[in-house]
Amino acid sequence: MQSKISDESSIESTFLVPKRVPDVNGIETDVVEVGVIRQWAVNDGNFPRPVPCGVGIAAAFTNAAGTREVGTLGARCVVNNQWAILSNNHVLALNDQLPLGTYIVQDGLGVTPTDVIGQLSNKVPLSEASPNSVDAAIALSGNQYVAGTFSYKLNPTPMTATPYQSVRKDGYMTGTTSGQIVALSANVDITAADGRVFPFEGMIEIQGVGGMPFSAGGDSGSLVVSLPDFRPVAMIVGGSGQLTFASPIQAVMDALSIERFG
Amino acid sequence: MNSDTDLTRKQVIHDFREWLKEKRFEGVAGSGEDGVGVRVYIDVKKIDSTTRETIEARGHGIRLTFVEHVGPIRQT
Repeated sequence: MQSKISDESSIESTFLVPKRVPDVNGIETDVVEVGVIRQWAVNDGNFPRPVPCGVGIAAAFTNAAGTREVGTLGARCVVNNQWAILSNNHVLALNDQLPLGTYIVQDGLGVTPTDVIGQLSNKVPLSEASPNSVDAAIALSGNQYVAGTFSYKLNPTPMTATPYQSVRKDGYMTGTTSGQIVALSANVDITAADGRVFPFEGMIEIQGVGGMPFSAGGDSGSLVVSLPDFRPVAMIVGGSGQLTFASPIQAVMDALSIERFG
Repeated sequence: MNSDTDLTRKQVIHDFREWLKEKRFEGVAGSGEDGVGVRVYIDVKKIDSTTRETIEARGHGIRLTFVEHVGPIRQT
């Protein structure tokens, strides 16, 4: 792999990659231009605008303990012909505690006007008494603030999850990870930071590959996509250790009248 | 597996999961379906052996997988 492919005639012959490798059965070689390979890891800082998806965001609200609930910018989407960003209710609205219009910042610890990338515009209320199907909210934004880019090229057509399907996500805390869907129709109780318990139904359980967790604290809101075609499948809500639970993406889209991702 | 058998299996799984939900056992966070049987999510710090045996007895004939985790399932 080369950061940049140059014309062969401009390269000294001793630096040229041979067409074949004699020591490995004459196997053919190829030179692939990859640009600069960067770490796709946690970046606590402020990304240049427009920010990619998968970065840390939060509501501009600091709780009594002086901390923020930072989650992940799941995806850029279109609602009523307007650009919006998708994440969880518990990330953008702190489980219904914040009003519509609340500023959303990136980085998640941002406190200045230049940190603002959107305003909370809709959320699906969460219930402690009856089962929830999604934990989702959107904030109106603009393409000058958020780009619809990931560590992969998104195919915006959503799909229904199937057992044992391979998936991937870009998240704030654990970056890019791969996993496998191991259960559907999961009914689980998910506990909030303040101790409230929200029952969910119809969730998707995902496990990471190679013994690694698929997600961790801070990855909530991450868009889960299919492999190898990168179609939206689900959005992460919570987890415990090796377990990750996510809402089916079609349910999220229906609940928030999301027209498309982009 | 013919469709009648498949329908019966689905009903058995559904009934078992409804029973599990109604019982609200301490240490059981919920359940899911893996295409063959049922996955039961259990908090290893909160569940006791009697509860586990009760679930196994009720789920006899169903492929049960106890998915162990430590502490509650949390919003991330």
